[in-house]
Amino acid sequence: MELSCDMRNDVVLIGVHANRIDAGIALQFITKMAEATKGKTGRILMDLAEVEFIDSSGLGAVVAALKQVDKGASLELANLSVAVRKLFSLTKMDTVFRVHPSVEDALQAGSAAA
Amino acid sequence: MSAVPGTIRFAVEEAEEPGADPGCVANPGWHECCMLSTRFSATVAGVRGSLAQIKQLLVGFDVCPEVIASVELVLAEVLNNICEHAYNGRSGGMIEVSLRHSPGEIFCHTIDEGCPMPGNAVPITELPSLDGPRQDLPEGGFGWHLIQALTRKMDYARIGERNHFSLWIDLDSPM
Repeated sequence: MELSCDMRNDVVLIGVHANRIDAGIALQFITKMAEATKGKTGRILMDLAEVEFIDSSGLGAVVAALKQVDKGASLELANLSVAVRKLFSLTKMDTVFRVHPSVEDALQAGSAAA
Repeated sequence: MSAVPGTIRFAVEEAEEPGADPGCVANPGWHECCMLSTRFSATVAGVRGSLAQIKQLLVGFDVCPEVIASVELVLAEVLNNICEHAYNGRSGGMIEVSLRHSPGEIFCHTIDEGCPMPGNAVPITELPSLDGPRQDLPEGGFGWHLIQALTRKMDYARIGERNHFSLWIDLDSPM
């Protein structure tokens, strides 16, 4: 599991290069997210295009990643698969994270409603 | 049940439905059901492998992505619970999963030889509260809620030294 980190406009774009975030890589994900988001402010967008599946352990890791970002930063999500969207909907975590259909949608949406 | 760890076998059967509505012939899948049984070690790798095989099988049966997502989520939570709690993370445990895809529903059954469920019952859990500041958000406690939300019915039985979970997922109301 690798993360990539780029700046797109004023948004920190983190690509998650793994096809699943599950019990097996949850701790590794939290550690790598801490490294990727350290000192970052403003909008942080996690691109989940490659992630087909997240289980409840992986969801816990995504929440842990949110807690690690600076107080002034937001953690948003884009490109949720059917299974990931279902997970976020059933746990109501889609009310905690701002969810975008795609990275482009997220960049165009701006930070007004963040 | 297959006795070989990590293997999977399934069979396609023609359902015996004399006098069935001929309109159903237009959908060949209606007359088919699939059975699968797999046995694997109670580890992260074992769980991942079984989920991948089950998903592949359901894709082959043209089950819609929403239902496949439900089956994968439900089984992932049940199997993780077996690894982490019934076997308490210890190695050497085995899990058997069988699955039946029939008109209207998918039935899943798991067997393990771990510790019994506390109180010999599945917990009825509420979704953890998401109110409050960011630092207080829950990082766990979602598993049983997800299983309950995605299944029409769930049964648990302790038979001898084994745990049996039975799960029914509707095909027409995947949420």
